[in-house]
Amino acid sequence: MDYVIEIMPALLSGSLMTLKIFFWTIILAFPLGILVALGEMSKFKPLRYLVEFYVWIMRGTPLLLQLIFVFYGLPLLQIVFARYQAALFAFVLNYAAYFAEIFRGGFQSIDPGQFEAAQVLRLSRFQIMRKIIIPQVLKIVLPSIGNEVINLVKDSSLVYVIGLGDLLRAGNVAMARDVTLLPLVLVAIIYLALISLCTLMQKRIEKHYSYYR
Amino acid sequence: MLEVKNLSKSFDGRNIIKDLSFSLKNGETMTVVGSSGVGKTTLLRIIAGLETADSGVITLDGQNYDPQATGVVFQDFNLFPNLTALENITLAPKLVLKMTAQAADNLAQELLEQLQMLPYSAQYPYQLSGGQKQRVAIARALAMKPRILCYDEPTSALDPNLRQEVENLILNLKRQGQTQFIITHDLVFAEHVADQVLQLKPRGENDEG
Repeated sequence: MDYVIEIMPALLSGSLMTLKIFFWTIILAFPLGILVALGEMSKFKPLRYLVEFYVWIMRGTPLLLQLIFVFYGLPLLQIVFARYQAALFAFVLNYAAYFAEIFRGGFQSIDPGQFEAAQVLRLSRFQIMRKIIIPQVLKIVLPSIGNEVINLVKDSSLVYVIGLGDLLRAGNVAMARDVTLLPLVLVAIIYLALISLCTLMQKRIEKHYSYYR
Repeated sequence: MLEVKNLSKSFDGRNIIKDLSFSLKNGETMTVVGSSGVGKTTLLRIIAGLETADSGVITLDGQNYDPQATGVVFQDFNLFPNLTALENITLAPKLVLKMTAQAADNLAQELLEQLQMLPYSAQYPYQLSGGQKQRVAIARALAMKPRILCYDEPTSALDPNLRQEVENLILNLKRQGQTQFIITHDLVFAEHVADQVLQLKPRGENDEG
């Protein structure tokens, strides 16, 4: 028990990094994902091709590679990010691409009659999106988004590769130093707790949207 | 008066509507009948501004016609599932006509009352029957004070025993002076409600009847 108390501060400070990456990625990648999804459905072909290319790259290469590319590769082109900013940059771009694909599916599953009904009521495109389409899309995509959010909690451990001290790294360091498995068990418990919390939130939000069918 | 002159529309080189002309007087009800594939729904979509005609002129009271003057009751009603019956009706008056929430609510309640739907104002569309959804759709369209109210197959998504109710509804609105334009394949219904029946025929041999 003493040992647990001893290494807890290190693990908690690692958790803080994990949570920071997690929250900022969600907050930035979510709206960016909506915009990218709209870009993918744009009638303006150059924009559509550009956006599709971006999604292709992001989904077609490992996130680990993207992290290494941003932090170690881009400086060769005189583009230098600090570690934390590099991690966020790579995570946001990567997750926005996945969110975009989910949103695109959501947008396309909305009956075109919804657009038409709103259009003959003379709502503007922006009003149609905000009041009619996006609320319905959110309800549809929630389960898939929840899945990605859980993945994100775990994927955040990849930041160790660019030298950021996250939860997994803190556990790893303690294990190597003290030659015991306990830190890794604690790390697993913390991840489980975080993901359980996410699942609970997801259920809450789905329930909130269950007022209509 | 709504006047349509020499309206034509084709899709992929196939003439759907060819040289169609007709006029609809203010306050009158016109029904458009014809077998499927003769362009009834296309005609409605052009009048509603959801499609553009290839050629032809449409005027309303001599002015260039603006589809915004038109309300539509869709075949599947297309109510917004995320909004209550009342919110479905108040949305556009608030956002487009800039009515206050209070004024929009009052207007919606009046319309729901008139359609005997007031007890359902807080229900979501999935909680309503087909006939009830249709009334909400009619109220939603009427709230925007349309010059012309269009219906796409108003009897087809309903139980046959509700046809009489729809007839009464439409005749009631006619008595209140509402101009109505109704697409239907139901000839008996068409005769009952119409001042004028427009028969669409295949291959562009259209005439007024």
